[in-house]
Amino acid sequence: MFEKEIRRKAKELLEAKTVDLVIGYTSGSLPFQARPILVSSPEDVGKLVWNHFARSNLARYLLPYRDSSKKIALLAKGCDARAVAVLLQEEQFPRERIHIIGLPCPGVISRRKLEEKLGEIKEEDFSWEENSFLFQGEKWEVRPFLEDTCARCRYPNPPLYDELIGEEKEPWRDGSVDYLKELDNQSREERWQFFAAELSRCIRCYACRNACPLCYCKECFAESDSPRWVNGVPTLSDNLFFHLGRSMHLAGRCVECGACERACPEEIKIGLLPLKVEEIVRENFSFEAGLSLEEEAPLLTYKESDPGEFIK
Amino acid sequence: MSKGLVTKEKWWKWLEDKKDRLFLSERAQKRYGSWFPPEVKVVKNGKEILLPSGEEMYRYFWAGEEWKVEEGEVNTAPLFFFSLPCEARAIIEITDKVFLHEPIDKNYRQRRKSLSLGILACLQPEPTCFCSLVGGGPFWKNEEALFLVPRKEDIYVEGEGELLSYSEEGGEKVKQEIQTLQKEVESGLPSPLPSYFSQELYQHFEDEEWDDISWHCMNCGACTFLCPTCYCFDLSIEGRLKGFQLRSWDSCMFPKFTLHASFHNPRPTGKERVRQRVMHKFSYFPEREGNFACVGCGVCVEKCPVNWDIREAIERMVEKIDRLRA
Amino acid sequence: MKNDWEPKIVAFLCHWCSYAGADLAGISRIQYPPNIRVIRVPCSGAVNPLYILKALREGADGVLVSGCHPGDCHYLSGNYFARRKFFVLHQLLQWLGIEENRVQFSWVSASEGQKFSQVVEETVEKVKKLGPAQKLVKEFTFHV
Repeated sequence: MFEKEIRRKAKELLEAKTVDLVIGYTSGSLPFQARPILVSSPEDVGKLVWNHFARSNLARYLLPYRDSSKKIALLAKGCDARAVAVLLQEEQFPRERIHIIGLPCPGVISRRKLEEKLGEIKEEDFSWEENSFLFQGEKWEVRPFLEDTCARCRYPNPPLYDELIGEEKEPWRDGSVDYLKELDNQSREERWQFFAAELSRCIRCYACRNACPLCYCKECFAESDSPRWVNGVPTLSDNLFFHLGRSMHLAGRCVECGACERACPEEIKIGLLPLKVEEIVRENFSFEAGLSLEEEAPLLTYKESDPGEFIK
Repeated sequence: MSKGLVTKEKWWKWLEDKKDRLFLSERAQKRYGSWFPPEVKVVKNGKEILLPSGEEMYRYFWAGEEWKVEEGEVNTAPLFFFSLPCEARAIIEITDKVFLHEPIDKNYRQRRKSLSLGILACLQPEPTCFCSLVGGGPFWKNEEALFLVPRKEDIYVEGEGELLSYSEEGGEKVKQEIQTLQKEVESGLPSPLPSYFSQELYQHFEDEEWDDISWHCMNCGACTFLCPTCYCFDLSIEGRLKGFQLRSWDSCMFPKFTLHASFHNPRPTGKERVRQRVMHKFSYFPEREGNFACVGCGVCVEKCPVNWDIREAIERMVEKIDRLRA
Repeated sequence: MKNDWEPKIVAFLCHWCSYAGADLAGISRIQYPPNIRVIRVPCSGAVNPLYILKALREGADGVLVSGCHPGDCHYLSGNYFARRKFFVLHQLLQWLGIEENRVQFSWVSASEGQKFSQVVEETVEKVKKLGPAQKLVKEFTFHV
């Protein structure tokens, strides 16, 4: 899956000193994991991997270098590149210090789904392709095994890149697999019950926030002391407050990467709230974050014809 | 201390009047769920009982001319908590040492007094487990707790108390069987860290390695909140003229954990915070109390969103220390 | 629910229009229900969605946000920005299963004392129908 090309490209960039650092994925200490890695020397490019388990959004690892002078090459899936675009637009990082290596994304596979369907699994039983895989010699389609956040992906191809490795993927535009839509079909009370059950499991470790490339506030409102919005006890009301507040902060900025949900150690479907906000913004203000560097963020602008029937 | 075998029927008979006071750890449930009634309350670990994620320390209100304060109430009904050896060890060897030594934490002590522990032997260590590295083991036991090895038709029991009166003498054969089982499970587990590790680790406080070790950690609190030994907490007030003093979990992974009122932060970046977590568990605590503040349950490794693995950090430092010693 | 229950409603009123409208209602001795607790803000555009959530968390049974009519903002466009923001919040809360009328919005100008009284009446009536708020209220509450 283009691993060789990625390594070669990283080596070339580092050797030519086009960049100082490469941020990518490497294999983790556990099977079915790819963890972020920083490569600074051409000898280490062999550590880079590219597979179906790249669940982090690497754009989040850019921000610590905001005030340095390092030039960074970033491996970017569709959503990572969209996040970079928003960061650029919000002037959080200078364009000239980033080199985006675009990777059309085959989607992130959920280990849980693999286990549910295939039983006990070992890494050596698999051989992976873009859209399918062989498990003990049997061929399976990838899509049913994708993380919920990825099964509904509309932008697997990076909209912004300096170079692209691999071939652009045909995005799924059918919307046939969309866990957000499934929830839309429920009644309001059912949805409330669903979220109350999900969010009361939240321990407020803030993995979702920290995994999010666009949650870069120096002080998060959830941890602010003055004013103090919520206390540290993970009660349902304060968990809701945090996730609602976070979703509102991401209105018109969320790039639908779902990194928040994939980061959740309790496997709570927290991506649904920012994704819903994204959908509201898209449907009413026809805006999608991270697709262009020119278009103004929807909540920083207005139209006189905006919907206003809900106001008396 | 006595030993014996308790048959299935007698086990259930013993549980009969305890059903509503039974707690079982999530990981023990996965292995031994069928040995407990459906009423059993499943908790992540002992911390959830002894140091809940939120508790009311006291309530207060302004009574016109003075503040009135009432202390929070702690449930003192006797409870039984069954868990794996690592999780029991977190209570006995770590949190007890923190909260039952001066200054004693009143709420913790009251809860702890009413809690009886049962240790279920761990027969299937997971790939993330490393209890033997930090001084524990799948058959770790302690005289204050019941030690149980569930078998096909009966449970091998060691300890004191009512349950033992239900037991029968197992004889030499059973003793042999348990020993063989223990050997089987323990084989292939990592050997303990060297005794000089905790002391020497501190010498490497300033090392460059920490940059690299901590680089991909996102500094969320998943590891510390899910850890059975991490006990740090925060206090906050909820309300104004009437309200509560609340105690909630806090995490050394958060920048605000060490933020001074002057806005100076002695642990400004992820590197310092990750180093603190490793140092506290593997150097400061053992230097003070004699054992690591990590029981090797591997939950932090399993649940980490970016697969930050504490075993790798330890391995790296052990290698370095040994290299320098040689 | 007790029969004598009266909802508490937090009203964020913009300084230039709705607050002045409330003032006019007062000067003109127009009656309106005493259930609202007014918080004056410089502009409806200054109302952070977190304020609304916080009001509910602290036990308000309803929230009313009111500003200048579109086009009349003292700061020219503050209320247009507010409208987008509130639209998203309104849709999100509704989708999540929070009752639609818990959080209400209105435009009331400085000359609309009568309308202000009507708006408050309607708001209170709708919240009364819903009963006490439960869904976003903080869990630690103190009863003496």
